[in-house]
Amino acid sequence: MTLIDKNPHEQCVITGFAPGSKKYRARLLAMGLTRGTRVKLIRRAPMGDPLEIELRGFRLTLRRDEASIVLIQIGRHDGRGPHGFGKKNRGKHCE
Amino acid sequence: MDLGKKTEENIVNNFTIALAGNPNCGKTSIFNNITGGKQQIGNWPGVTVERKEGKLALPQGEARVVDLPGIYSLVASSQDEQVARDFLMGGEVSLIVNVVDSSNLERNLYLTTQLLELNIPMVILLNMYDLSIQKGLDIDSCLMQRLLSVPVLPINAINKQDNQAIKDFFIEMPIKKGYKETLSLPNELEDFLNKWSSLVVDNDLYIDKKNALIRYLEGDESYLKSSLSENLTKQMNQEIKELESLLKDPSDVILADYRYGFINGICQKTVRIKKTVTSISAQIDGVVLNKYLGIPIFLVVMYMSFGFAMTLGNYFVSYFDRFFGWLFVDSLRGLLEGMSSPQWIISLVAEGMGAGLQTVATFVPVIFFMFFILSILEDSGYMARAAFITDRFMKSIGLPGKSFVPKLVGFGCTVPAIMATRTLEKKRDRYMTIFMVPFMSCGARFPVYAMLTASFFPQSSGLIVFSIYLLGIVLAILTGLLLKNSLFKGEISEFIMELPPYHQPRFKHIMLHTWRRLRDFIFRAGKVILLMVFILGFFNSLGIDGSFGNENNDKSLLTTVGKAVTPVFKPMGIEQNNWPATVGLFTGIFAKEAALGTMTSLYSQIEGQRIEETSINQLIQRYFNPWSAYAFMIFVLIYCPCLAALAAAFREMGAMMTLLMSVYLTSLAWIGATVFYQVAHGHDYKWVIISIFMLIFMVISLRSLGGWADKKVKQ
Ligand SMILES: Nc1nc2c(ncn2[C@@H]2O[C@H](COP(=O)(O)OP(=O)(O)O)[C@@H](O)[C@H]2O)c(=O)[nH]1
Ligand SMILES: [Mg+2]
Repeated sequence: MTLIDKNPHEQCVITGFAPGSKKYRARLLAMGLTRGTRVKLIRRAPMGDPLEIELRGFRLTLRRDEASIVLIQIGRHDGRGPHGFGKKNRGKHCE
Repeated sequence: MDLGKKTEENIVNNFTIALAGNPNCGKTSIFNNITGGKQQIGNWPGVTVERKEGKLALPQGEARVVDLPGIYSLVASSQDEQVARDFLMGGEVSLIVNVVDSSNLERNLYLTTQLLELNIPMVILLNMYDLSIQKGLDIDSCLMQRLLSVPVLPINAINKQDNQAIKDFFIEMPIKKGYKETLSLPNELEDFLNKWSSLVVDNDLYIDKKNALIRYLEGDESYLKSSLSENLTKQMNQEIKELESLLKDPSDVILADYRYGFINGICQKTVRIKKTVTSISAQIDGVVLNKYLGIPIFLVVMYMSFGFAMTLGNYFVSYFDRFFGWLFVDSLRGLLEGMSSPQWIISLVAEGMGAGLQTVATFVPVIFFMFFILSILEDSGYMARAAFITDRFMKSIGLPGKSFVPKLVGFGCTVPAIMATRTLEKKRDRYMTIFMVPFMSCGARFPVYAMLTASFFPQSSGLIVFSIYLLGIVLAILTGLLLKNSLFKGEISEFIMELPPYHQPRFKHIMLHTWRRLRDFIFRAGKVILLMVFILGFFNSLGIDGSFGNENNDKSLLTTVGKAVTPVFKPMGIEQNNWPATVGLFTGIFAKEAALGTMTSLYSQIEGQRIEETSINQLIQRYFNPWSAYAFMIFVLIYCPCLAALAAAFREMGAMMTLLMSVYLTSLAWIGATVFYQVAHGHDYKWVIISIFMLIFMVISLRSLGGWADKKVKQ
């Protein structure tokens, strides 16, 4: 699932990137959207787009269709982390 | 690069300090503090990105301080970022002062990891220390200094005392080269870097070869272009592919993982979270960006701020107009007459130059207040919220949300609106917005509409004027769509915007910002205005018999030309006897409100009577009919913006783009007015067909100019 399918205030973890513009990905990476980073969708703009997310203690806005390259899973830890949260949830949708 | 020497002597002449850091981390505040009042602002060679340079006096000599545009990474995506990157990697910098927002440490340190690799002497200023404490963070800057092996100083740029601390820091700190090996990369990647750095030929590379390779992997190809043959590049790309399939990830993702891994390590050791504080910004945003309240609040904020700016600005305009009119025109004329100078000198100096200066002066109050408000909106952090709310509107035109604001300003005055496009990062976005701004009907066009509607549509004047404003908005959107698919086809930038915490705007900072932009207008745009007003004024004053002082009478050269070109406007309903309307359109280029004055004064001269207030409407009714009046309003809405606006556009986009814009607008105005008039009243469909052909021709021309515009935008 990707960043845009989430409900506001759900805690998620970035798992990777879908193929897409390398330039855009580079900017996201610089902003700290690396694998294993926790993100929270704060809100959508009044007209549904863009999205406001929180990560690493700051807030960022991304457009829905552009942000769709960010893959996430619900929860607090990356699947590879020591707590092994991911196995249980891998492949599950966030609804 | 011979940095070693400089390092030993610590600070010497010709010492260049570059302030580098994320946007909004306080670079400019620090810059202003340490350079004091003495600073120069110019542009980076060849581009319009602002370059701020100042001097810092140190006991060892004077250092040059350069305030760079904010960057998140050394991989540049916008022009501003390229400027910063090229400066940092151009071999000119003796000391990097990396300003880090300590309340947002992780993300700020990302750039730090890249800067460290440049192997240039570096110090870190942990700015916004007050905010990080407020946030409940406790940062061990000494430990950080040890871990990063570069000097680290925690400061609060707003605090005066820290100012001296920064200077002392520069003087006393043993300035070392950056610590290069920050990252311990996977072995495969290390091997790759080691292998290929020996194959890179050192062609005017100011940076380390291995670093150039890392830059390449992170997505910046510019540093290897000339140092690796085509064959080798191909081979290397192949190897990168193999490497990436081995490591199961693109190399840029891996590098970012490792950078942030390194940063996490540092932060875990140096930052203690003492208490968790719910930030006030988040609470404010809960209201300001609320699903239902967001848009109404946005509209109220815009209405109040620009309403305030326009009201206050316009209040002073009449005083400025009268005072500078008296000073530059009347007194100057009086003085020259006193010296019994010939009439032509008086005309040239007083009506030409004097009137030009007067025009520049009358724009000062409006621009001042507009920039004042814009600076407050920017400094407080609300501008980013406005962009968040309006982004949806702008996205379809391929512009970022922020470009909404200059358009709003355009309803007040086109000049500050054009200058407000500076708040946009990308040149393409700036240019496109400038093309769209003139469609927002400015305050100066309003009197023309008011007069014509009062003469012909007294019952429904509100509706008629509203329809004109609406037409402007529709045409702006259509223009945006057209440009997106023709002139400015270039790739649309993705939208990634930080929502910075709200700051309390600081008066001094804002005044400085406002003053800089105002000064820029006066000295740069002012020159063009002066010249153009001078030329037009000259032809207005010059009679066909070679005499002077014929302003707005039927002997003036401008009038003669006006009469001669009136047939051009016949398809939109301006009959030959209505040549004053044509002259009005010319003088409207000085300032839109001047059109009305010219027309009424010419009408009254023709009619040979002084117009009383009550008879102006009747007079206008003699020369227009309702349809031609409306067509005329359409024309006034769209055609070439006034000289001051042109000068501002010239300042931002250069001569050719500005020319193209005026031609586009004027042609479109003619087409719009003609189609309306002929369909509604004239019924001479030949003109409609001609208009359609003109439109098609325009679209094709704009499309074929796409390549040229692309180059200009990328310059
Ligand atoms: N509280 C606090 N605010 C700061 C500090 N330094 C800068 N600011 C504010 O941060 C904002 C951005 O500063 P500016 O110098 O324009 O950042 P730049 O974009 O890096 O040039 C301004 O509103 C400053 O008033 C600081 O140390 N503490
Ligand atoms: Mg700045």
